[in-house]
Amino acid sequence: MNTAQEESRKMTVKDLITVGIFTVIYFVIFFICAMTGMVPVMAIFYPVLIALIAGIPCVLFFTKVQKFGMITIMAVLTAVLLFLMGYGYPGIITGLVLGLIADIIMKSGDYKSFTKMVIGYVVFSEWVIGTQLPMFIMGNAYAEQFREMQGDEFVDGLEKLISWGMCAVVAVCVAVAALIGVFIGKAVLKKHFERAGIV
Amino acid sequence: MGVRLLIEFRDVSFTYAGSEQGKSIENVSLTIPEGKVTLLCGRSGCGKTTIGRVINGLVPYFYKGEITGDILLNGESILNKKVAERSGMVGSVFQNPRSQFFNVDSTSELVFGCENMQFPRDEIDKRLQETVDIFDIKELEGHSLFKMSGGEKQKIACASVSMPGPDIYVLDEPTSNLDMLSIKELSAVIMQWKAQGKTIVVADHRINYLRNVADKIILIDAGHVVWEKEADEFFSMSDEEAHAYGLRSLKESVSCKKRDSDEGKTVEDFIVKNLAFKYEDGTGIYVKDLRIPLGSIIGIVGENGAGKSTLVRCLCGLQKSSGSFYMGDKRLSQKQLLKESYLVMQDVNHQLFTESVDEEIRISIPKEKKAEQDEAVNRLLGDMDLSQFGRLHPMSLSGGQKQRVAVATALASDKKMLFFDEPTSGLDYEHMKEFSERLRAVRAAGATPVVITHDIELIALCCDHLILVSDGRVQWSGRCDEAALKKLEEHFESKSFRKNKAKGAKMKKQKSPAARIWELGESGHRQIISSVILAIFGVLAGIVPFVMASKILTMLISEQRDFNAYLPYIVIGLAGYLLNTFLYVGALGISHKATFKILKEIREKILAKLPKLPLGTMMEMQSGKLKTTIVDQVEGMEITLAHMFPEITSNVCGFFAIWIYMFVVDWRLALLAMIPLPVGMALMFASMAGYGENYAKSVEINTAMNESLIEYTGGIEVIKAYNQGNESYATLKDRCNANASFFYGWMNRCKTNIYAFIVMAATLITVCPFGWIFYQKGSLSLEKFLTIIVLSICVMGPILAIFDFVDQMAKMGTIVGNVDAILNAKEQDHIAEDDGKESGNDIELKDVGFAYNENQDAVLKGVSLRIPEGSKTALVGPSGSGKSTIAKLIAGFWDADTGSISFGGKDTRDIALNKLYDKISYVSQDNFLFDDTIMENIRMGNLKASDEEVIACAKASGCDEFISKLENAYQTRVGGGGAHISGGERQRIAIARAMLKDAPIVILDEATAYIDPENEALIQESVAKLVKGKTLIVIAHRLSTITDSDQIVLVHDGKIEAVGKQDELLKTSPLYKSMWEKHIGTREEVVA
Amino acid sequence: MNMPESGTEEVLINFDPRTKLLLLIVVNTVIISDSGSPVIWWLKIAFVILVFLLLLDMKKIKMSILYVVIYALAMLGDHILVSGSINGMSMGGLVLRIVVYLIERMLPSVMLAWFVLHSTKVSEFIAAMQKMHLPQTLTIPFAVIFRFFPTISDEYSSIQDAMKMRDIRFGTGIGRGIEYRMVPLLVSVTKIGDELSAAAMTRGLTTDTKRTSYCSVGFHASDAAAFAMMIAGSVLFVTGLIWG
Repeated sequence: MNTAQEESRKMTVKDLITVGIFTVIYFVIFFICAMTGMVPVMAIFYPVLIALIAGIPCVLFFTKVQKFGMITIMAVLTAVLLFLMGYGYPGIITGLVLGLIADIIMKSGDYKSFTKMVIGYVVFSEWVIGTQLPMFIMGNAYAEQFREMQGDEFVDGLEKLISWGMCAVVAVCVAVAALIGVFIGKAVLKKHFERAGIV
Repeated sequence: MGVRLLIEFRDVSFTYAGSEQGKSIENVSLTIPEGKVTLLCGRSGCGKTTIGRVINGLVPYFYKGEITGDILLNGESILNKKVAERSGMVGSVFQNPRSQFFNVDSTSELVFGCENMQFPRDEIDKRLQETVDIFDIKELEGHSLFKMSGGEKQKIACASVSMPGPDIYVLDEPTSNLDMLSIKELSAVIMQWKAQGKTIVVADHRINYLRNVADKIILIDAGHVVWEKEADEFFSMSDEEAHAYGLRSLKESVSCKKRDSDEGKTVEDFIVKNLAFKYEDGTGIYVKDLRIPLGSIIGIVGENGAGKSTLVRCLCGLQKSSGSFYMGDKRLSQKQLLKESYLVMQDVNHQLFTESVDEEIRISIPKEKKAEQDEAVNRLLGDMDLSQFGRLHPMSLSGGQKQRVAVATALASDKKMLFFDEPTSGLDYEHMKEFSERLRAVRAAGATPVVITHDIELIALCCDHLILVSDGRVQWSGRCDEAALKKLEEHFESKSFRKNKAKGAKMKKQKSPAARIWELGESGHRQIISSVILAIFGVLAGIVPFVMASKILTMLISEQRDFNAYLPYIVIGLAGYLLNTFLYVGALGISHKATFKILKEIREKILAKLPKLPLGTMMEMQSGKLKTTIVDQVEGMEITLAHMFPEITSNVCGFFAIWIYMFVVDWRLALLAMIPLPVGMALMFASMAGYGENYAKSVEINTAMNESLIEYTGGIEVIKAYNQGNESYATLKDRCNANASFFYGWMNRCKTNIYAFIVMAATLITVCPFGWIFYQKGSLSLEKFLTIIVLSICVMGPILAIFDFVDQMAKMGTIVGNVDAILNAKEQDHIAEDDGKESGNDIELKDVGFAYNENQDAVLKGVSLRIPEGSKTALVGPSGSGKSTIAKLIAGFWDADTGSISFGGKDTRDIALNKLYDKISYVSQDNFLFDDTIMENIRMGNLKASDEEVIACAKASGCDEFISKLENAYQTRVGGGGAHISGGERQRIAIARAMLKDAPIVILDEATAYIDPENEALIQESVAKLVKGKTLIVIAHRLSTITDSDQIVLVHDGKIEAVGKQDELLKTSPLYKSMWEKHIGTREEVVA
Repeated sequence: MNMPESGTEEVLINFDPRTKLLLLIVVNTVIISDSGSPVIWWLKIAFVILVFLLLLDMKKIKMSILYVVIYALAMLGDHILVSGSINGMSMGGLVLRIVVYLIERMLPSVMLAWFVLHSTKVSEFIAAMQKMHLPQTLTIPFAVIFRFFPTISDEYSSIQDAMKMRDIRFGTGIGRGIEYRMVPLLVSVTKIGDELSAAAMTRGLTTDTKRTSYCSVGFHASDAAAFAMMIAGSVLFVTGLIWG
């Protein structure tokens, strides 16, 4: 019999372990980029950095495992890890939703189409903004506290920084970075991983 | 015949998917017999691993591809069973421990298989207990897998695979990453499985560890079965034959295969001085002075965990360490070391970065030589046999090819020292030989290859110089030749006979001293708890007066004139104070009573434990230390138990109570009041740094002084006789002074402590100014302000009390440590009560190994000996050879570490200690006489003996004469240590004792050493009477006294070198002959 | 870099993992909120103290004291800012504002999370997940994650060592730097993953069958107490939000 020709739709043990491994890698990248958030500018823009760097492992991931749910699980587990480290749960929701959408997009191309992978990755990368949601939502309420003492000028300035407008700007930057990231990932895949035989 | 065939391969062929090399195994038909160990061997890539995978199903369900033929288990085809289905029947152990484990800790890993197979909880628990017992891994339970050594990991892997109880075990190159000791343990595990009737299939290059284990050997080549052989036939093959088949050497020990013409020429030396490095957990290395001859092939060996990798990392500059490094005369900094060294790691994947082999080598070429790049690259490719791989991605190559790429990059970089970490661990004979050629090529190119390896064959083939690392030190460094190889073997043998006591101890989790003291004080728990409760209420009551005071203050300020308004507050305040005092006294009273009871119990426990310790351990304990522990240190626990528990808990509660009250009144001031605390604490911790060590040192110095004192008074005779009076006294004086000055110095250093206390309690420092600011701003009322001030003062009390006790805590560590050293000492592991059956008196030692303690090498390294009942056996040998140890082990002073000692077939551990002691009379050189009459002293041999019997024995042993001449004859008291009797007389009394005891086995440990010639004949006579009809074991230096023995056992270096009668030995053993000749050379007579 | 390690510390009183999750959710929500209601203010203090007690439960005395001290300082800092004593627009003021904000909003959650992670073993998490009927597709990767953190750490430091030995020869730059780190790491980790999968399969791991759990998790008195506290807390929280 030739077992190389059989393939199933369900995830195998090997797939699940691969999901786990790449989740760890994604998480580590996330964490390093989020740490740059010490610098106030980066606190707002770290999702962009993540989208850029995570392209390499993600493209490899998408090529190795081609089963439905892979992205959702990775996103949800990363968000759960963050939650377990004390960084809140809104990420779980965005991870779930956006991950699912990305999965659906890629599945429509049977996980083999590169264009669908690009779109999928872009959509997926936006989930990181979910971890910043508390900042955007609560930010205004927090700033209001100071209105009496510090005056309008200050409060308005602060509010502009954490406004929804800024959130949209970040989303766009993330999309662009994700695009670049995917192409970098594809290039590295061709240059290294395919030739190394681990795909 | 009649062995059921368990597994059968019928014409199986398999091709890995995507493989360009055709069938991996072709038309393989073989049978694996049930309950036996089958070894699959052959060159790399021959297909043996694939065959193993067919058994457990990884082929074809994980490693996909095309498979034909069938595989049968007990006659039924299992080809269609997937991996998980087969997992209940087949357990698989892989090469690399690190990637076998799914879990983080050992217990989870052990139960993993059973959990997957849906075993119910209690079943899993039962199997877990059994498995832990069988594999002897109790100390490893629950520990992190990441922190274990390779051998321990592989053991856990084997244990976890055996938990679900499969019938078949498949092991794929399981020894690749193990050192010699762990390999021995693995083969023991395999033997155990075989004893359980399991079927085992091993695919491996390394073969000699299966020498007495494997039953059937199958050789595979290029995917075909070449032949099947039975074990005896196979292992009698010569090394040349084995090598021709691509196999590693079959013999257990290896001889040096280097040709002299191979030696490298030493240009200069690489010198290391005072290298020291320590990891967090305390392990590390220290090298005083090491010279490595550059230009030679260097081998670094040692057991796992010895420090080889650490050493190499420091040598190549990867690890910062203290010490100086020189190349010839030039001193090198860490950076320069890096520049000159290159390490080829065990896992080469970490070192290959680029997209083609070509590029990989190119980037290693130093900038200066960029011009000749192409030429250099091509040359290196050719040298390393990689020319056809130039364009390929490095990661797509096989392990051996990747290694060659790494070597090529190393050579390209022009570095002087190339280190290799376990380069041949998984290689077959040919590849290993190739590698040794490669090393020669490196050497020829002007670099120095340094190889860390367990592979003795590789060392024998090509190493010029050897360095042996053990226990974090360089044990030996020198030229690699036959003698060196022998030294290596001996080192590993002695290590293997030492049970790893030290490791076990380190792994045990350390309980905090307070928790341990709580444990020890079990019986008094209830009282202590009630005293704590009382104390808590007492402290709370103590707060009341302060609160009342603040209220009174407020009223005063608001000019309340009516005295009556104050009255209730005053009364309540006073009541609170009184209550506080009573409760406090009461609490301490109870706790002290309980404590004294507990101390008594602890001392009783220690005293009860002492008899249970191995006799040998007791003899070696210093009496000074014992006294200090039992009397002084246990006393030291009084403070903790009686004061600490109630006072700390109550003060902590008090502190929180006050503070919460403050917080509710005004949270800002409450927080501010706390600021001085951390500052003070920081100061305190600074001064307390090293308290624990200081205290331990003080105990040490104190004990040393005590011992000096005892020695001075005890040995005053000798001191005066040899006129050492001044020197000895000087030592004593020095130690007393050292003691005193140590404490002075320590006190001095603790000055900061006082400052700390002052600062910590100064809560008012922050409260007053800030409170005033808030008051001014109107955010604080006067009443609240005053309350806070009063409370701030109140809170100082508990704070000071708490930190006073932190002081005591540090002492606890040492005290508990010493007490526990006794309470937890290894008892002799004998059954408590005999089952009544007599065991006969034939003594047999089987492969006994023993070391006095974990820090020393084994004294006995596998001693096997038979002493039939009633015979006379003599143990002879050079000093330190282990003969006394053998006698002491037989006498039951200690239990053997490995191997067994039995009497009439019954293991000594199954014999109750008192019965064991009944069997043996041990007469040694120094004979202790108690502070009692001679009659009683002799009666010690048998307390039930009558006076007549005692006198009879005294007569027989030749004592009667001199005893009768004494003042009170038999009723003469012999002072402590029997000081008034001469050596010879004491000896005879001891022999009388032994006679009275009439034990079936008599051991004489150089018992005639003392005797003057007059009495010698007498003694000989009495000894002859003593041992008539008994088993006699004599340890003697004077060989002429034992020439008539039934067997003379020559012990040398912890092993039995020769056994036989006098004339036999003279003929067969050169060592004995030379000893004999030296001996009779000192005597005038010639003995036939 | 601090890798999350699970279940490494001893705890005096332990809780079921599900209780700990609830703790995390409720405490998180409360601590982050910016409502000015006094009820919520006291609730926050109560939760800060709760976290302190939990850290003590883990016998981490130094850490818990440090935590409380830092939080207290943050509270004082906040008070100073609100009362206007320091100019909020100045550089110093801005930095102080950000620091105080972060500490007050995040420190308790982070410390609580540290408690949860380090007092629960991976097998306890998995057992709880299985009791909650979460599918294998979530539990298996979860277990793998914790198992891989130390592995990746090891692999990465090996790669760094290798780079140290060849560093001068590389054309540095962020691009190459990332490539040279990620590629060997990914290749190595993939290989380990493959070996691990093979081994796991031979140990009977499949996606269909439900696994039993050796580690037992269940509710005890301490969980009941914790639940009660959380429910009370949530009620108070909602009250505070609505009525101020």
